[in-house]
Amino acid sequence: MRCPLFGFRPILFLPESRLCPLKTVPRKTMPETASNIQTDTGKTTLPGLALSLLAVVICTLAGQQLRGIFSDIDIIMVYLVGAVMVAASLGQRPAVLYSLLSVTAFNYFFVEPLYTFNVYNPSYWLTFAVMLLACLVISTQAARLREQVVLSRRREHGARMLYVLTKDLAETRDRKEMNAALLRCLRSSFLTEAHLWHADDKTTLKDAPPEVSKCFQRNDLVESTARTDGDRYRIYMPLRGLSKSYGVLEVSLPVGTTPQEDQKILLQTQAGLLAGAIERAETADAAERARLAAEREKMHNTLLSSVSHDFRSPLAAIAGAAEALSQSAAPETAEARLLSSIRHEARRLTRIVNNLLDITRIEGGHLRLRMQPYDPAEIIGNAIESSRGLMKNHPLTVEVASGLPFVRMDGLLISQVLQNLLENASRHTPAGTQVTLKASVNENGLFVLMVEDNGAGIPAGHERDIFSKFATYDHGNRPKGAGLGLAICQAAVTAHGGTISAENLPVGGCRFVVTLPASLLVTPPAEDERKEDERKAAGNDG
Amino acid sequence: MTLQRQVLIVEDEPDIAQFISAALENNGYVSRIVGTGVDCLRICSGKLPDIVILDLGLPDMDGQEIIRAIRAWSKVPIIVLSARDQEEQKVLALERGADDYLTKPFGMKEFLARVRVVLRHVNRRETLQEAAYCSRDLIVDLARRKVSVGGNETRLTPTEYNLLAVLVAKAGQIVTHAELLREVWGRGSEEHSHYLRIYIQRLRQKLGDDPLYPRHIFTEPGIGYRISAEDET
Repeated sequence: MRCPLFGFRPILFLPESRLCPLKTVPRKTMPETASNIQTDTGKTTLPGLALSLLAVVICTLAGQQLRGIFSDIDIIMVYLVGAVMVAASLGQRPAVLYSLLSVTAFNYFFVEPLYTFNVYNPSYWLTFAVMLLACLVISTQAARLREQVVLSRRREHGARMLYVLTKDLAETRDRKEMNAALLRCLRSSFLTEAHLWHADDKTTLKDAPPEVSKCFQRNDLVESTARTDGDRYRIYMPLRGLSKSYGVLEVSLPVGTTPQEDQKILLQTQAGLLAGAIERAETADAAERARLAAEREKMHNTLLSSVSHDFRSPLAAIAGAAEALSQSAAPETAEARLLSSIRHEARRLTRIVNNLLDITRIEGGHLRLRMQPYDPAEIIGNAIESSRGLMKNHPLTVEVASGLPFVRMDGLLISQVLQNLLENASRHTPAGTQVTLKASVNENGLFVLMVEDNGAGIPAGHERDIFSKFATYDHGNRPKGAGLGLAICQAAVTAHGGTISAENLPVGGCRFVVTLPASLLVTPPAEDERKEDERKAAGNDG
Repeated sequence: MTLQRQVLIVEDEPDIAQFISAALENNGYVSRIVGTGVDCLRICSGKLPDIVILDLGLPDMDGQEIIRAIRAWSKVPIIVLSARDQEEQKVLALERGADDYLTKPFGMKEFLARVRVVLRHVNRRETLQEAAYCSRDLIVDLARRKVSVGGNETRLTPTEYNLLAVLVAKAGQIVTHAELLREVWGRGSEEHSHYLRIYIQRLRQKLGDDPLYPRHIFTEPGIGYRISAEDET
């Protein structure tokens, strides 16, 4: 241990902890960070006082040796040197004691009459007073200097610890490494035991020791004082971030020690640093995840949209060219059949590409509903008309309840939903399978559209996932779709605030049910205007 | 038709332009293909073609601007070709004065039918207003404001008749919601689309037209209505 003041080993060897009688330090100059747990300062005083007594003895002996060569004034100098030494190594209180003792000893051993406390020459009283004053001033200044050095050393140590911790925390985004950095820092500065309780999203530390969960719930410092001699003093600090707490830091001090206020502040600073680092790492991770997801989505959509755009024009050209040719081809020939098959397949590919574009548009958030009131029958009619080619081998029954109200919807989109459901039914059932389309308002006031078939039904357990993108199932040798039609239906219906579901029917086949919320139903307008109109018509005719 | 009709195809995809041109020439039209809006306007400012087939997605100009430019001096019929994801473009094009639209990919029969319908309207504009509309069992006597279905006269209210008359005036062509509302209910009524829906529903009832399987009035969701083209005479 180097003596802070003189740069050489101290004359008096003392255990390190005893060199820092913290309680003698005035409150105002308490360091913001302290690096050593202080033991009870009462224990340091007694040996300190004994040592200052010893110093007086040594100086007196030295003075005895110098007597006769030097004057009394020079002997006083020896005592002053002792005062500096004592103040620098032992602190202020031993130095004050030394000052008093040295004046007394000087009087006893060196002032006539010797070996008494009497003084013949009254001018010596002035000498004593000056000597005492000099001793006190010197020792006070030396002690203060020593304290300043100790303080700055402690400050510097604390700052270095925080610097190392900050640096360690900044270098990693791994939780384990962060924890290790904090524990390393605590060990090197406090010689303590520490434990970290981490609360992730699922745990709230309810199962941890009571102090830990109490600290976490209160989000504030909790201390548990030693109850018996063997107990340690424990402090619990929440790892407080900006938005939430990430856990609790538990620190147990060595047996028989209690922390100073400034040391608690240091501990809290360290816990705060760790919480900040965890928060930063989590934010960075979340940002990274979001960026990746957005990038993936963007790439996905760009790919889909460029692929479908690049496919669409050639397909339109193929279909159109085949149709133009088939006009001049003689009917019922192989040529006509081949041209028809080219046209048919080009149309099918076009539908798939259009579906891809639709789903890209819907998922890319570019879907803007154009809600208008529609007579449901005309939308159903439009869907039937558009699906005529696809449904030519599937007899279709349409059951529309009479007196249906108008429904606010994006007519084109709902027509597309029905077309997709009809296409789905026609593709997944053999030719000749009966398909039924129903529209009604149910008992809960919801507008309900149903498409039923009596085919093979949906493979068991897939009633929900058939609506996910690219979900396709094997149906023997029938051509599979891209698995987008139902995903589009779901997206479109959801955008209307409605639901879509599929179920197998007990009698065989399956049923797709679309519901639109009651809020979209439009109450029929008043009859007045119509009556007025009728009257005018009668007038005209009459 | 003694004179061959001139068709200007404005389309930047050569393959599509090629088969449209082939189909038209097979049916007795003369066609010319240009790939840019600038070329289209240059040709239209010279000798006007009889009809313009305009793709909305041209590389150099917005199709809407081309329509507006042409309409500034000419009533030459314009049929717009649009991609599927341009619904609003279609409505805008019709509002700006396009006569009809087709969504890619379209069938040749449908395309040729539209061309015929649009050209017939031009003929009618050039000659006298026709006195009657006749399609299947529906006859509208425009001079006497009489409507009959299957030989039986149907009584329509004035609003219903006006609505039918607007559709019939552009028989076979799409009429947008906004146009119907404006023509029947007057300017400023374009927002009241539920009136239109109610009267279309009644009109269909009176004409014996099932909205599920329409024979006369066809629904174009989000755009408007189209009454079936007149029977070929």
